[in-house]
Amino acid sequence: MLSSLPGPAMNVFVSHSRQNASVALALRERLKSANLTIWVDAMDLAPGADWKKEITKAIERANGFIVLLGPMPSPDDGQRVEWQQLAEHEYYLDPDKPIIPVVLGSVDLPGFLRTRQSISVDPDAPDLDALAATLQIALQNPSQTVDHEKLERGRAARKAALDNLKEYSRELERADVKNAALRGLK
Amino acid sequence: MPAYEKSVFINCPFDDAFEPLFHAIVLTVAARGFTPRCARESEGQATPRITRIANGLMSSKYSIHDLTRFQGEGPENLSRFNMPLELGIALGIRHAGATGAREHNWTALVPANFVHHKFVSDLAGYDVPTYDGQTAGIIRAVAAWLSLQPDFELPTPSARSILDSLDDFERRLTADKQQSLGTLTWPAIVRHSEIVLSQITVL
Repeated sequence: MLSSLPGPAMNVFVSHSRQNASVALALRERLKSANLTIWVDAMDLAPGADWKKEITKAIERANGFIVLLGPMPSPDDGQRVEWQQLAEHEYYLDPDKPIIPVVLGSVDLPGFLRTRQSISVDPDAPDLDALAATLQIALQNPSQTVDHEKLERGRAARKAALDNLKEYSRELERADVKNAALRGLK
Repeated sequence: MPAYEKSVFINCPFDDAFEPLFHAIVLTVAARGFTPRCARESEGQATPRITRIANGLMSSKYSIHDLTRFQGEGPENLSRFNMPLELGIALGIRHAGATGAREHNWTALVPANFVHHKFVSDLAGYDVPTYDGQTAGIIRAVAAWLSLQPDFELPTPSARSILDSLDDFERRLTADKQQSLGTLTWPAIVRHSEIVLSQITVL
């Protein structure tokens, strides 16, 4: 277990798949401290509890998130449900909420995690102590978990998306005029 | 033609009762940085409707299928099967993607309480979003699903601010419809979505 860093008390939700459950549990052991409460379903879900309801409650209680991805390319169904919940609560829009993707191997991030700084880990030999220490610091410094460069690129993409929408509507209008003219000829 | 990676094909009823929900889906898709598309974009063409829908689905990486209307209607109490049929086409494209064709991601919007397990039980293994028949619910479900997709990019308006813009969107569409003697065209819907969204400040 790491020694506590100065900072506010936090509830941290660890989202994981079956494929990386052992890493989630190892991190839980290393990160829990006086000011960090770590929630991992495999350990913190009471037997017989309504899994979906408890996940929702834990996500709503949390003010920090660690998302484990990989080494397989896709999350399992359980993690998909967690992501749907995270997405519905739109925590990813709040730069004051630390959300830290931890990537075991090489896996594409889902859109809502793309503007967060991810931590890459060798899935064959993960240094869990070093990972826990990095996560502890990141959790206490939410702004460091945001990838500002990608956010800037996203702003340009948003402008391009609106321009594309405008162009698409013009294209449709031109097609409408053409079709109306053809119908007139008939 | 809009980029395949950013195209979201919307498969839902196009009648008056569903219109506010359809507009909410369109605005949400556009707000999340994607291009909304639907069967209405090719209305004037001579091609059969099902072919136009298949073409639209195949040229879109994403599709949204509303399956909330499943009950019998009219004097013969028949339910319409178009939505599940078109979802079937999307599933076919998805499976073709696994064999080398272009990737396709779909979702179905279903009513709460798992009632879809009774009328389309083959979807029981999928965790599809539910909503309560209200615009706020459909915006939340669609916004969340899109944010999970690999082509989604931040920053983006929140679901709350999309909902807040919906009244302005509807006002513009109503005015356009009145000016066009009762016809609201698909190009007009797309154009007004762009106008409304360009007024939202995103941090």
